[in-house]
Amino acid sequence: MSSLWQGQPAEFTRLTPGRIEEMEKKMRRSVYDFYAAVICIAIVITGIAALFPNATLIAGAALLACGFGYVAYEVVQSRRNAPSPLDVSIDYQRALMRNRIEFHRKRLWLRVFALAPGGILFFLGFAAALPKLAPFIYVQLATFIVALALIVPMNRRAAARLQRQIDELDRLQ
Amino acid sequence: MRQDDLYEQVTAELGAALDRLARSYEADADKRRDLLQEIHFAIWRSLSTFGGDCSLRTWVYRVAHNVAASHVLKQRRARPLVGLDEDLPEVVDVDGPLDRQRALGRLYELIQKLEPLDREVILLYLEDVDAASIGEITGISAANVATKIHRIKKILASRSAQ
Repeated sequence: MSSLWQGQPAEFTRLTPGRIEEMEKKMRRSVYDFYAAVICIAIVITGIAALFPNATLIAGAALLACGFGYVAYEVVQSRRNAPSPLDVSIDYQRALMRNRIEFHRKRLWLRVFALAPGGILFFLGFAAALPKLAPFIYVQLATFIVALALIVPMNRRAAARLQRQIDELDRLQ
Repeated sequence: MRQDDLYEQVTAELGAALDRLARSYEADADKRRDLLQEIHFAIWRSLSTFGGDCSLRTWVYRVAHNVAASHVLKQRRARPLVGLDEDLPEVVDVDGPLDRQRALGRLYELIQKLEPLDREVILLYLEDVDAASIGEITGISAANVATKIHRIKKILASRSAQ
């Protein structure tokens, strides 16, 4: 079986210095892209609040922008604390799963409590500022609330699944 | 030795094994190419800290499997995986003799359905890495490596031969 496996034709890959430089740039760019996406969301939210001045809408937009900022900060922190595949001194698979469990658990309250109040106020204020679009906005609000409600059991299930895998790894040591 | 020299040595000695490793973790050709590049990039970066505490082969396999395991964890929602102790899908069950290509194809199908750790053990076993080194690379006890290899041999013998 080993000879069959090792006897298959293999594609020879070697990164050139140019390709390595490109990949390093791409790695740095992905961090900037994330920040750019968060800034764009904040601009759109505050832009809507500025176009349709309404107290509820402004309060919702402010809370929502803060919520997005906080979630973004937590995502960046989680990425920073994530184990590196380059670190051969640690049990990477277990460390990676622990990091993900922590993130799933945190997201339970992060998403609900950091984004829900601002989101709900924002939609209510938007509907009040644009009564003609209110039915459409209420549908969006209902979808937002359903999505928030679904996130909790989904995150719990994901955290439980990862915990089971860690227990299995612990059993093997 | 410098990072670039070590990388040259790795590509010369383990380049083919890394290609096979990437194939075992990703069936899609484009994604596989990206994964292989990610593995090479991670190895290149890691070699700047290689101090010779373990063999270069052990070091490279650990980094490569770490990157591949991370890739599997990202993709696992799309593809449910199973452990060696569970009932494996009948992907390598055949009626008659297999030609080389079909046997390989079915072996890949089987490997790609395994959990990362089981996959790591089976791949190292197929690369003729001894049980002690598999234990060192995967971080599982020698007894568990032996049990897993025994189970792998049984599966391969019963499902892919004759």
